[in-house]
Amino acid sequence: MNNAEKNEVKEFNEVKAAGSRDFNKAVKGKFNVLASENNEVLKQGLKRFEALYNPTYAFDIDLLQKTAINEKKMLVKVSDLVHTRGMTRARLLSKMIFFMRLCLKYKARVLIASGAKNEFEEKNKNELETIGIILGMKWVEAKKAVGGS
Amino acid sequence: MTLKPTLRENKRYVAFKASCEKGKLREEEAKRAVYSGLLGLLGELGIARTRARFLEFDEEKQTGIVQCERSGVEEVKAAIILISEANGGKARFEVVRTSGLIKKLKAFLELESRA
Repeated sequence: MNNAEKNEVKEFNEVKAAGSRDFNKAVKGKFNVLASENNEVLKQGLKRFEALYNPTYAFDIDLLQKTAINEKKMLVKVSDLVHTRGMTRARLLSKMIFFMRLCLKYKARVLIASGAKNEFEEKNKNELETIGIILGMKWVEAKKAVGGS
Repeated sequence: MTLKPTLRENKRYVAFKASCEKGKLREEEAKRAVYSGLLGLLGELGIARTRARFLEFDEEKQTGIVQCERSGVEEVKAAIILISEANGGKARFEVVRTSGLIKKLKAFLELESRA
């Protein structure tokens, strides 16, 4: 189960895309998230999906600016941190912090989700806000990122 | 001679609730998981700076309290949130509440357990 907007459903449909031919996997009526390690694919799917997710948190300023203009969201998953340890977690955390800094600078909206696959990975709203603060957001920004407003 | 008010530490207490797939955790296991989580995220220097300390754990209610410095509350909370295993199995440590008074926190935990 994944946390989405406050007054929206708690689950979202993640579409892993290698190219634009995978875009038709989006399900109507569900909150669709486009996931790809290729930022060019994310740019192509910007208009069709509600949120975008790059598991490597590689930054692309052009993508962030377009996300801001189109009022879409960039997804940050807490489960990425939960499933790593040691130096891997440290490196990923530094990437996420930098990514968050750029999102805030270029005013791209951020959505923080737990990315839970089972009950032990679920996080409540306050916990997601705390992670947002750790990544460099202010409290108000973290509340918005979790609440979805 | 007592410390000046500006120099004394400002303690905060973080209450958490633990759940593990292998059943109820013992205090020793919860302590190990919390310290492992703190070391993992904050490191030795981070724990030193935040003055994070495991205080107590109620094996019946599976709730515990961690003490830390006011400035390091968010980091300690994040470290607890990111704990994913304890006692060799999947676990979830949920941060319930933060308070400056341990008495109030214990009263809150008592109320929660009755609800």
